Amino acid sequence: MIEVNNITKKFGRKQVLKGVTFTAEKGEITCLIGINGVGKTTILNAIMALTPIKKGEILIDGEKLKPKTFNHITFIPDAITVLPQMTITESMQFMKDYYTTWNEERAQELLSFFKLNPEDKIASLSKGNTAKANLLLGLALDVDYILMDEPFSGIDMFSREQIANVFTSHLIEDRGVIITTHEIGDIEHLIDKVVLLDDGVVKKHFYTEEVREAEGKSVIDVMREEYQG
Amino acid sequence: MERYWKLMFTSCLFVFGIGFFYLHDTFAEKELPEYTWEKQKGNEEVLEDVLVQAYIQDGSYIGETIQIAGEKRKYLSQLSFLERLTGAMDNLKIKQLQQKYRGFMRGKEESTYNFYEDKRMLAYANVSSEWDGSQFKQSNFALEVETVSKRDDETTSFFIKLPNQDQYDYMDVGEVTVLGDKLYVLTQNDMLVDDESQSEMRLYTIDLTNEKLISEQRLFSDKEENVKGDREVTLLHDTDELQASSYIAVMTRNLDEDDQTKQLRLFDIEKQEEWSVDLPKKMLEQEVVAHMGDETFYFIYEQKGKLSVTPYQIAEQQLDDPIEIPISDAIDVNTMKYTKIIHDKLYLLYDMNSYMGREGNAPQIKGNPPLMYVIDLKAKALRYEGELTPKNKAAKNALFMIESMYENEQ
Amino acid sequence: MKSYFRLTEFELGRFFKFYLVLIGLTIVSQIIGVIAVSKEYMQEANEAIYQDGLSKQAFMDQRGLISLLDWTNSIWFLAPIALCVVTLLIYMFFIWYRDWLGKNTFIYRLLMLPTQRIHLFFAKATTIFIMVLGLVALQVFLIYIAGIVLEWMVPNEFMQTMGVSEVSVASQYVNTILPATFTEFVLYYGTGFMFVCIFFTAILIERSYRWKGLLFAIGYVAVATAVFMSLIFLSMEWGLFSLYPLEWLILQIIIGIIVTASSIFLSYYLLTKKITV
Repeated sequence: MIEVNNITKKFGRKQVLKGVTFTAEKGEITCLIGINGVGKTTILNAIMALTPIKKGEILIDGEKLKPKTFNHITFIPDAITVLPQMTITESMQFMKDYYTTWNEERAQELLSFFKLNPEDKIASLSKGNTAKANLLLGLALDVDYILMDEPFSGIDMFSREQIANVFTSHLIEDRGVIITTHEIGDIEHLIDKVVLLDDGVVKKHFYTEEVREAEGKSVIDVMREEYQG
Repeated sequence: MERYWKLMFTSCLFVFGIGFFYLHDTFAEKELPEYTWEKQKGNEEVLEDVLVQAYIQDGSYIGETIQIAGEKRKYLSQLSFLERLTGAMDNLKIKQLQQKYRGFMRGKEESTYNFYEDKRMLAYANVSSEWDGSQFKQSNFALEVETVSKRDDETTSFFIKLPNQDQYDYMDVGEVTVLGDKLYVLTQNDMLVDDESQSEMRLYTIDLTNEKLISEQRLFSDKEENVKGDREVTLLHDTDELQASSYIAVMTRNLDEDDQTKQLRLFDIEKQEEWSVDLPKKMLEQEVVAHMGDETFYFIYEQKGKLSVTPYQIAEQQLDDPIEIPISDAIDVNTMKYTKIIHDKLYLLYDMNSYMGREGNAPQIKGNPPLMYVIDLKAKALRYEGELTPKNKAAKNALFMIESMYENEQ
Repeated sequence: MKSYFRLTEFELGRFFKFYLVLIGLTIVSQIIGVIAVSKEYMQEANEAIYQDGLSKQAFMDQRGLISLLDWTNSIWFLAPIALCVVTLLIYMFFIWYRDWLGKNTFIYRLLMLPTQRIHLFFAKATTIFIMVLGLVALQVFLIYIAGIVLEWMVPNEFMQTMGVSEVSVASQYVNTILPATFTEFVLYYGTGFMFVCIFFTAILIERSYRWKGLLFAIGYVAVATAVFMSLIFLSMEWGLFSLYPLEWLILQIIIGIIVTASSIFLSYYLLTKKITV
């Protein structure tokens, strides 16, 4: 379980996070929803200790983040994080060199699933293929938690479908996933839990299943109520 | 390993390059110039008390400095960084004092002129001043006096602001002496008078008990009223000796074209008298070696294979019979020489490749070896005669330039 | 430890092509240099002897013998060294900033590696440092080779032969990069390593606090340098106390180690707690 407890963050004078609290369980896909600039990416960065937080704490399976934890949690940012001059094979080798949890078999599987050419340089890939390669490098790790930042933004329709398929496959099963998005439409059917962010706080969090069954509302209905009502 | 080839490549480049540079020592391969004393007469034991320092130039860009004491040799190029840092070739007397009185010697001028030592105490005096930017000269002259008692290690230190500061622009300590409870500091004071530089000696008398300045006296100036031109004033003292006598001796020479009179003048600190030593003119032209600890001057003269050393006792005001020693015919009065009195023995070292007063006489690589004579001043006899001969090819091809001769304290 | 070596190899690889170019330029320039310097000398000799009718001896007395020092004082020798120095100085900053630049933010990956982040610091410092040492070592070989080339180019009677160590003692430029004793070498390059650590820490301060950090970073460099130089100022310039040379050296080494250790410690703290992508 990833526990985010009352974290606050300032950029200059602007208070971006004013005490955000939520949890994300293993085996569930948690979606952080909010308009751009609401601090979704900042929360993911904070979980990975890529940016300091002013107050609050973040626990991963009950512990604070340590260097070793990076073998059990991975973050797929919205841009690819290997060097552009590397080929896909080289970047896979790079990951394999440092992570004990790198699963070569799965990496090969993903490679063929995404139909990527391993000899291609990262810099020469199309936007969709870069996103897929980025996803590959994260998903090929045998980790417990995966954080994804806007995995669908700015990508062509077919790539989107391919990526969406990943979520329903065994590649995601049993893992805890936190994903951020500002448009819920494409993935509504995939997610288990929603954390609605607004003005630096969690406005509401709920299980999609429960809301649908109990109130007959979709995620978008809830959002409309919360943001406009 | 091949995965780390860039790291290996760079590390190997470094290890081999730096290893080659520091382990393969070309100085070790390059022969060191070697010299030995070749005895002609006497006993070479006396050479253990003297330390000859010379600069060796073999025509390459790097000179070598050597120190020779008896059988021992020290080469500057062979010193480690730490030896260089701690001044392994520096003034031995000061080094000794630093070892013995580590605290007292801390931060003190490394010049024997500033020290006085006897059975009771070690005394130090130095001039301190500040740069005055508005007047563009040194100002605020003061004497810094420090003594340490040998009996109880007690140190006293005090500053004395000096009077009549407008009379000089710069001053330096020439000698420090303690007589009774008074400390005497002889200084060389330089000044500009009508845009002409002038120099004089001043004697400051300090009461050690009350830490006060008793008097300031002007002693010898290079401008005297009854002398037409300038005159040259040279302080005669035992260099690197820490004792001094109650006399201050100077040799003066008038620098006028018609008047080049030399005078040996003395000042008796205790009696506060100044007088001129009455000696024949011929005698005064000779080189004089002062042995102030013994209150004796030695006049040295070389001529036609004969060296004569004539003692003059200051207290008795009389010349003794000269000590006469046969020497090499190659030596004459103008041969460059280095003198030093150590343990009542006069050491005379002749540099056979240079001559005083002759310019443009470029020293030649294949020079003649220096000659050494050691004369026992008490027994009035020659103790040693010999030459420092090059022993190997490196030494034979190099020019040996004597820099100085010290007492060997090690 | 393993990831430290991996990262160092990786960091070296990222600059290795440029590094080989620097090595190549140095070799080419310095070898051309020794040829040019000896050609020029021989031309002078020929002119003097055959046109002006000087005797060989007279020419040698007048002009002096040619030696490797003529070469080490020439632009051919010094320009590539200056180029290497400037390039590596710039790269000392760029080695960090390149990871933040562009849309492929590689710093995400580096900070998310399952290893102590201080290894990044050490890997980058080692990279800079070992590249400097490699170039210094290259210089040793080049001086040696230049000596051989000079012997080919100039008749021996016109030449003053010098070994590598002699060149380093006689030439003040060479002496700066290759001091006479190994102790001094360790002291010089130890100081160099300390300054690499200081500048890296300053970069990390800036990266952690951005604009506000820039002031702190400059301040840190100033303070660290002042602390390192404090002995020299207090004892030698202002004369507040005085030290024997050996005491000074020991204290200076201790201060150097303290400054280096503080920089590493501060960097460790910044990398784990304050760094931001």
